[in-house]
Amino acid sequence: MNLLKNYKKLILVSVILIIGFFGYNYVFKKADTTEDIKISFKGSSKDLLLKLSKNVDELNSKAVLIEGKISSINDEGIIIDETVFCQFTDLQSTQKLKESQTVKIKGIIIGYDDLLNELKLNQCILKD
Amino acid sequence: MRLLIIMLLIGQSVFAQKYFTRTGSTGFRASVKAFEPVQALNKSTSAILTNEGKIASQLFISAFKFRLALMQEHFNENFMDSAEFPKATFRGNIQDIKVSELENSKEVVIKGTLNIRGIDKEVETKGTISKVGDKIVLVSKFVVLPGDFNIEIPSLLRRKIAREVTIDINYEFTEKL
Repeated sequence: MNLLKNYKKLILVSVILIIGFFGYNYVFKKADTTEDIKISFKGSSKDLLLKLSKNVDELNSKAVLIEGKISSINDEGIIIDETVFCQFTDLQSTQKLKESQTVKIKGIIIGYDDLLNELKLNQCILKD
Repeated sequence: MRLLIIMLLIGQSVFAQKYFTRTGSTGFRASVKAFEPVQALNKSTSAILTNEGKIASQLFISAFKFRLALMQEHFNENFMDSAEFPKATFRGNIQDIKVSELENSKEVVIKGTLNIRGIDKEVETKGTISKVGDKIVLVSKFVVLPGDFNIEIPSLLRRKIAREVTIDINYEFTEKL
């Protein structure tokens, strides 16, 4: 009888612990990194812009993998084919890059910036 | 005629001196003491500043990064409707300033229109503009109320989100060539 009571207690406590554990993980989950997010578009920067010219907000906050030529590098990020601005999470990865080099980049589209007329990507990472 | 065009072009390059940034940081704070901090940072704000102090800036709501994924999701989906209103903009003037004649730093008054969720609101605030090397740095903050932009906060969360939201801006402009 005593043993049965203890078992019940044990099960109750473990159920609470499990719920607590998953609940905590759900509420305090960290934001996803670029590496984790599924790629929604793959191709050259021109193809991407062509796709977005039909519906500009279609791929907002989705991850894309694009390929293109670096048209300029500054301390904020790099610009590909003069139309796509990529901002990196860590600036070190851009230091090895050179202008007019072709690169593959995975990044998250934040939107088309009509103030500067370019597509903005952030949390970019270099892909080989 | 040709001379006129050339004159115009030269004039443009002299008078239309512009400064811009793509990676201005805009912060958002609505934390209440003793609760999980409600704050986020957007490091991808675009802004253009003319020599006469006209300023236009634009940011994407979904580029605000929160520490917690769930909070970011709520911010985008429940409060800001970032699918429907992806952008927030500010257009205005920094008063009594000639950016090219700036030395060191200066306290300024910024007046303009803030547009969030498609709703315009006139704002006026103080800020500091300073010249650091080749860069022009503008630091300021706005205080806004969620109600001004039709953002409803459910009663369950009211105690955890500050009544007044502070928007911090810190833009480093470089001259546009």
